[in-house]
Amino acid sequence: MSDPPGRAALPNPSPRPREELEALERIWAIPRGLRALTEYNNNLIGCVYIGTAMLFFVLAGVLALAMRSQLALPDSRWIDPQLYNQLFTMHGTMMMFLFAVPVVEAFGILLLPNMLGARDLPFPRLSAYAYWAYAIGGIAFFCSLFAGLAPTGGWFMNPPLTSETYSPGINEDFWLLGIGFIEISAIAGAIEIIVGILRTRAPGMTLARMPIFAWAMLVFALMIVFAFPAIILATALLELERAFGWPFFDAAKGGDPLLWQHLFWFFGHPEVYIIFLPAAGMVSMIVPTMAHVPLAGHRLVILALVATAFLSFGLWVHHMFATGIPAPSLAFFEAASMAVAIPSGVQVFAWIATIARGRLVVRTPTLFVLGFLFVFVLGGLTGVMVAAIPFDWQAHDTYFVVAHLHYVLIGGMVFPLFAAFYYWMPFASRKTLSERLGRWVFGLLFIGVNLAFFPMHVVGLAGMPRRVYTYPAGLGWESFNLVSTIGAFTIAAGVLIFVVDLVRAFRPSAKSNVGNLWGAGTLEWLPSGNYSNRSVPIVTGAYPLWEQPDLASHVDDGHYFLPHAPTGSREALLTDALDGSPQALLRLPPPGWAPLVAAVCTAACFFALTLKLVWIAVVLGALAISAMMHWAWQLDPRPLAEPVDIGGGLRVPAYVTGPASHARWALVALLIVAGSLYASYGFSYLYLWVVSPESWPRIEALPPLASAAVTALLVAASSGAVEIADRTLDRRVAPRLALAAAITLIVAASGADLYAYRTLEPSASAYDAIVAVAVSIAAFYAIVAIAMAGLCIARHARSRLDARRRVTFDCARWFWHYTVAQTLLGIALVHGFPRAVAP
Amino acid sequence: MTYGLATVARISAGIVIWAAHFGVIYGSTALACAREDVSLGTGIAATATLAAAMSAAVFGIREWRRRERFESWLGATIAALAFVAIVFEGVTILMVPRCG
Repeated sequence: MSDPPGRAALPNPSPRPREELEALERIWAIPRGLRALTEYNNNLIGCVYIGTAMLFFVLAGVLALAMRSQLALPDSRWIDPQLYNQLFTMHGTMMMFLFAVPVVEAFGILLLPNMLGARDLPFPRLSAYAYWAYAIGGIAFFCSLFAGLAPTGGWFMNPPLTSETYSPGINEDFWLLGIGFIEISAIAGAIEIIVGILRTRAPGMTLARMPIFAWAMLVFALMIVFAFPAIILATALLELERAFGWPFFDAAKGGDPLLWQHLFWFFGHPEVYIIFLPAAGMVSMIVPTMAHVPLAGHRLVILALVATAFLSFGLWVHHMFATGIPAPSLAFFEAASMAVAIPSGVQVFAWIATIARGRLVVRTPTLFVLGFLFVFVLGGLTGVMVAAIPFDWQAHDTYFVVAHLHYVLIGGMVFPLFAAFYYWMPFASRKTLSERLGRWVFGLLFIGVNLAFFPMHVVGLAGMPRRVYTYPAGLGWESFNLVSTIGAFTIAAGVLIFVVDLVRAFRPSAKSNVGNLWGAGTLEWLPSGNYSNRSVPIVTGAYPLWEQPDLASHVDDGHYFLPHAPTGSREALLTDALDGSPQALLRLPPPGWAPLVAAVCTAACFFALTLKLVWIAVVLGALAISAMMHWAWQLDPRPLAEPVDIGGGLRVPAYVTGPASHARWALVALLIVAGSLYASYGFSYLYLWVVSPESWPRIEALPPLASAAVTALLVAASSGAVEIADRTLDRRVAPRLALAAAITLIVAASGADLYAYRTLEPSASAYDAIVAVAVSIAAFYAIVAIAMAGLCIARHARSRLDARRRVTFDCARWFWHYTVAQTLLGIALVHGFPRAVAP
Repeated sequence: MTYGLATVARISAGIVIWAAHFGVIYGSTALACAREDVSLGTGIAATATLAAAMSAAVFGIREWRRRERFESWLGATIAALAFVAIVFEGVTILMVPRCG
């Protein structure tokens, strides 16, 4: 794609037959009636996903209004302390986990395919599953409030407050299981987004030309993949402690409550940027359009996104400055907190330079962007204040921190999000939002946010602690609190007007949307339908609609790639990750029930677990797995003998294996998740040793090395058996026998491992507990690998798997090898490390 | 068609160097403070800082020479920022020498 074709080089210059468009419309039509629930198309899922996230935004906002009403006057007795604890916990948790992350993921699902010139995301069923799991799980989680069962430990759930001793009952379990489950949905969406961005971009869209929003979403998704496993492990450990008494966080038994804080904030700080970076990406799309010039420092902004992302993983301890961590460690984190200001500053200057270079049109999206700059910069400044350790010790756990985090999150994320609503409404709807009401919404939000949160700086410095359900009169806090409450209701009035306007104007339509109202330059503004663009364009710059004047009409007349549906099903173009050159045709599934059923059953299974209805949970879990197996059975379609013509004489295969396969890319992303989870485990193991080496066993108390060697040999041999299956796939029985042998070997290995550690007493000491986790993780991965191998055996027996049709097998094979490698590493750690450090 | 390990390595080398350095300085000082053997922790951290800063610099300069390729430009500038962060973080060893 080094020399982009001009007009003469259109792949399909001649007029296209009418039937092509009709076929596209028919194939991509959303099913009617109840069957609309089976649709996965990103236009529909994206819209309902955003709608659900906004529902949680409003609900969590209502909780905030209840709290502000309580705090308006001193000595208020309207809400009792227990309910107040539930309110602030649910407000924070819902805003972070049910609103902020899902809503940006949802915007990604809605916008990315169109922005990249793709038909849909590469794993539409996965998006549907992620959405349904999130929606059902989130609503069940919210309803715990009505039963008085909502969690009370605050959104970061620090033990020992949240341990069984101090929080009996199932309230905290709702958080641990509910949020743990919703994280899985976020990871599913992230994998979808990574592969979509890297493998379905329009030809010619190199990494340098990729829209900044897509870059931001790529970075966002990678951050989820690296950060979320830490919180999944943390929630699992705390749940194990609560349910079975495994004392990871109990200092009396060799645990440490700070381990929770490390794991939580290793996720929790990147989380702030996970929320902020996509919002910054939205701003980087809106500013150039509104100023009618390309973004200043396009490449520098990409650099800033990537740099912010990785530096944000070195900041987590700045949430723990007051926990007594050694001074040198604190200093590293303080320094890293300063370093991250550099890339953030680059972005702010790029936006200012863009505005300065162009002619800024002031419409509602522009207002929200300007509001974002003001509010976010104020939050950033108080961020520099709390990054200074001595100041942080003063301000810690006061309303100053509440003020800071709301300035950063509302400024950094909510304002850009509202800008995005106004900006992309003409893309998603037949009508736009009202400009007049939009100015009201902006005014009320801007005034309300400053009115609500600015006084909190002052009451915080005056000593008001956060999370108190009331306060006495006479401390000088009354008037500030009253102003904050008035501000909160001002915000609510703004949101109410917005919602009314949304109900009035939002008429979702991909086909007859308003269109390119702002004169933007990126691909999502091309004419489209449910099939996205009529044909997949070749792009020659970062703003194709500005640089290629006839692009819209040529795309819509089908003059570019894939103006038709050559295999008669939903299709997308798989392209090269670097330059977007076409590599293969990806056949996408027709609508179906499996993801919905799987999501409902998974959510219900977790819900039953929370209520300790174990057998019902087992049944529901089995149903969920059956639905997933049904789904997996439909994957990996029959290869087509001939390559498919996608236009311009270009023929690409409709079935690819190996590194070109999109499944391989998703698997790599999944294995990064698994690796990150295991790294968090390794950190926890070593951390517990650092804090209480005295509870580590002497060499005589360890299982003999011979038992470790037996387990290691059995596991390694199972990989060999899988390799034999790989080389005999074209034979009738051999691969099935080899896979059965691999399953037997890994079962034997797990058995040997369990036998070696039969004397462990996980509830007696943190050491025993953390080793038991290593054994359990190995067993869990073995079970998943066995399920994948079993699927391969079944597919091979039913002629759905052979030497050519082998993507399912390849996924199972690489997962298997990963499992073996991780298990060997685990054996080296739990058998080797205590021997290495024994006195 | 380029399949990416080389590209991934090019873009992420600076990140990996930074992360390894951060892990080492944090881990070594945390352990040293827990075991009250401060000088060892400081020694490891200082050595790691020098090694990491040099690797980031060498890699960054190498990629900067091929900066007409976007991926090399990105790799070089990320390495430059990683260098700044490594020095920022490492220099605190001189300023906060005690566990206290």
